[in-house]
Amino acid sequence: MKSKRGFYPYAVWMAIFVIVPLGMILYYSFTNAGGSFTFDNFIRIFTSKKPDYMGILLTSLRIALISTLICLVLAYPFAYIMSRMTEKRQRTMNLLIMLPMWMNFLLRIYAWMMLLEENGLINRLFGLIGFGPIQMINTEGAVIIGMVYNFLPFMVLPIYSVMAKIEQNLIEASQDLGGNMLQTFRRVILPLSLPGVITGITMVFVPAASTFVISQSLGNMMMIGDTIEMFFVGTSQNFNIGSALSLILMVIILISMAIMNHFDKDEDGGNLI
Amino acid sequence: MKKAVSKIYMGIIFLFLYAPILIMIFFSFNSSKSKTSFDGFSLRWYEALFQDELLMEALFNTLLVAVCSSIIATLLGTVAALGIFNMKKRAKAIALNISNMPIINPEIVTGISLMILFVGVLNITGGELGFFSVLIAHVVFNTPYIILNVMPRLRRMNPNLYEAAQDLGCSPVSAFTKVVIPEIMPGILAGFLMAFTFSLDDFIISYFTSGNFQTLPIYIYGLLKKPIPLSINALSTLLFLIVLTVLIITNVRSARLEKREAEQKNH
Amino acid sequence: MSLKDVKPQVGDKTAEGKLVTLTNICKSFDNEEILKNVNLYIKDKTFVTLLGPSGCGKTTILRIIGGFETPSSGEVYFGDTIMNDVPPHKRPVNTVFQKYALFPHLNVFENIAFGLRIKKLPEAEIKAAVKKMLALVDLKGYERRPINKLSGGQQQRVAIARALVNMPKLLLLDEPLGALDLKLRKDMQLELKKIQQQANITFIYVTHDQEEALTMSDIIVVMKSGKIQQIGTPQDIYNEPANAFVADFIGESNIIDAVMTENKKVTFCGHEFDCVDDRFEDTTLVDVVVRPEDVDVTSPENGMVCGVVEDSVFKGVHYEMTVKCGEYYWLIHSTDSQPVGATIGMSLDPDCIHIMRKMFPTTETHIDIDEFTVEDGKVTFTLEDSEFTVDDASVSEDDSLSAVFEPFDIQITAENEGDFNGYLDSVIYKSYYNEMIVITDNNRWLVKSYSDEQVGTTVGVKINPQAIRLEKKEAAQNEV
Repeated sequence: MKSKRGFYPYAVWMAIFVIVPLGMILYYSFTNAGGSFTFDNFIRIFTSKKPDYMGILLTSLRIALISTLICLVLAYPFAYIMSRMTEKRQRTMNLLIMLPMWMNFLLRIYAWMMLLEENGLINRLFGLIGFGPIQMINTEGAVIIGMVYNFLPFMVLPIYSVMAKIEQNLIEASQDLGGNMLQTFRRVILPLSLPGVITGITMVFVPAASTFVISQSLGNMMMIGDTIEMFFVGTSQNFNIGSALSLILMVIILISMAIMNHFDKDEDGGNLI
Repeated sequence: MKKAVSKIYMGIIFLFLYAPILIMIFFSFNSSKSKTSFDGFSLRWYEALFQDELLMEALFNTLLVAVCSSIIATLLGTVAALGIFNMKKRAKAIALNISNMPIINPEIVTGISLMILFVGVLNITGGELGFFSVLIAHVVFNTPYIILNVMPRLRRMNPNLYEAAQDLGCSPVSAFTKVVIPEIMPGILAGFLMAFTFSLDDFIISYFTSGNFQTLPIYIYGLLKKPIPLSINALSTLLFLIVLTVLIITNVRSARLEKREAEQKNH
Repeated sequence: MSLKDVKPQVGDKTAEGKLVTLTNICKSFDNEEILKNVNLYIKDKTFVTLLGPSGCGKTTILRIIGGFETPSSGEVYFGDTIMNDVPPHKRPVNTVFQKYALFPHLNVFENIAFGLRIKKLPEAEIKAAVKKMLALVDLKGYERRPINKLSGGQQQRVAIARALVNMPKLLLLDEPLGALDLKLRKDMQLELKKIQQQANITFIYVTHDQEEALTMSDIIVVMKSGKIQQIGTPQDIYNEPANAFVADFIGESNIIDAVMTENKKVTFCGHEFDCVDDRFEDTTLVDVVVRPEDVDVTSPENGMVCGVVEDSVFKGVHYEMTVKCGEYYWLIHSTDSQPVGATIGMSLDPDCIHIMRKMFPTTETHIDIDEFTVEDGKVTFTLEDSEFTVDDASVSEDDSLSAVFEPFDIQITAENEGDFNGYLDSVIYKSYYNEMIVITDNNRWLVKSYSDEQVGTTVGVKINPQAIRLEKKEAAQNEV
């Protein structure tokens, strides 16, 4: 019981299946097809105009950011309302939020494909009121809708779970000290819910930035995930460029997460300065 | 007034979340191929579904991978959690950080990194991506969930329990099986269930490591390449109903359990 | 207890100096009455303690004054102004919450400055005010400390400073010392009293700790089951408890069943004692309270009553002795040690004997039975949804009956284990048994038992049918 031997098999496992594979990404990024060291992959990524990798990367980050912000704006009030309900209702709400999440996301994407099609249900409804049809499928907007739809629960749940832990007596204390609703929100609820917001942002932004299905199915466009996929599966296989792209994606995501976490720590221990 | 506004707001969000699913369910009973007008009730899409041998095979594969990978991950993860729990603070933090990598990294990165490894190994040994590569990949991303569920239980466990059992005459082994394991069992079970569902649901990592081996999500992905067969509505409906039932059952059970625990605390 | 007893009687009877007045306050949650017609006023610059067992409604009163609850009926006045619907942030009061409710994301300075920042005071003023408060609560130099790096006692001080810095006329404190250990509690009690005097404002302090209440308060309000039992100075409450509950709850006491047939004479433990009170007009049965330190130990021949020392424990200043006198166990505090087994005499000064009305009006529980069936000399009736069958050949269908339950034959069990459930409203130790009152939907039950139960809980009640006596109503009336 007091021994740490139990960790050893898993240590070996992680070495083989976590560390070595990541090392191999690193290796492929800096080698060419012949296996010799080179920066060519990165040079190509940064300079190529066709395909325009940097453009794709920036578009992906932009779309992911927009989707994350929309999720945040929608989820925050929702989580707040939910956290102030009776325990029984909170449980029901939790269930209702989780339920769509447990359905495979490909099916949920499909539902939106069906709705947004040129002759889909939404355009037909528009037609009934003498409107449209509007081009919705294969636009950036459709990708954003799909992402918000898919990832909204990932934003609601972490914010909710932090808010549910804010004790009622802290809110009462703020009121007792003269804080009206707005002041109580700004000075107590908002700062205390920040860790949940940060978790939520990471949980939405990372998969949104790296997806390769939503962009293809709803936007008929290439995001960074689709580009990486292209280099691993299918005819234009090129592990070297694919790995270099993944490495760049990973680094960008790690940096943004580090920034977010730093932000969090600042709020948490701002008093330590 | 304030209450009404919050109610309306929640209503709109739920409408957004559920309308697409409900529309799919509705059209799964459509007798025609139309996705916009309902031309009469029929179960033809369900019939089509059950006659689809590829689908049945994918379903079987998915369950097989989910069961095997979550059992292996549970064993590996529980033992690992016990080991990590006894490590010094710094080593513990490092071990947990590495362990969490597969779930912190974008899924696509985990997927391709494993693909590179498998392809590299298979180039030497010969063979193809398939059941075993998918199984390993699932164990890779499932084990961290087991550890994440077991660790808090270990932390909450009274450290004197193990010693008390030995004091009362248990051997170290029986003290472990009779006291420690039952104490952390809820965590192990929760981890197992989580691993099982994530395994059932996984698409991205499976996609890169499966070769010609098809799981249900990969099969669905194949359907999304146009033209989409309408039996996908029926499939969604069935999966939704299954998820709904399972969630309700587990929730009612956990609610009951919590109630009982609360009552016991009061006495 | 009549409303007359409850009326505020302390201090000036004029509106002068009345900071807070509560009139006819009732409060229910989910059909459960938490407060039943509470009347109370609080004078400016006093230290008032609301004292009572948990669930007695004291915290609810505090929350109503603070504005966190609205009364179901009745009025809250601050001075002459009705405050019922004024939200908490507009009330000139501040609260020290149970478990402090300090903001975990702010440091000590920012916690204390919170109220001032809300008021948008200039930074320099805030700094000066917080600094002054930190000095008052003895936390100079802790400005930048995060809250979770403070001890319980320090958090306590921050909570007080955070409230006081707003210079409220009234500070509400909800069991603020509950989370501290004994030594720290004692220190903080004195310190709180000092702070109250220095700040020269009113404190309303909620606690269930009678010693705390006696130490700090100018006025104590004793509560039970949503009703005020007594209002008075610590001396009043200790020396002249209004009923057996107050006597039992405050300090240690011997509470003994007694009979009073004439003025200034009371009989208990087989002796007729002189006392200073007149008898009640409607009953001869009373409770007597004798404080342990008021019993004089004498030689057996000089005592009014005699007893055998059963137990003697040294308590530092005095010996705490249990003396068996007949079936009664007397608790006595004496500076002289008496060996266990010794026979001693005990005397009481007339003004040490406090006469109180009994909590239960009769010696047994009487309940009218409206419907019953008679078969083969067995009477069957339903009470509290349970069926009882009593052997009584003398009863006929036409009689009008009442059932009498002997207190010692009613058993208290765990909830759902008895014939029916009831709320255990009071438990008072009567020198050799516990006198309990159980409330059910329609009836109050007097129960006497040698075992102890937790007051304020739901319990099961089990009745032995053999112990039920049936009385015909006419006959019963004739007897009286």
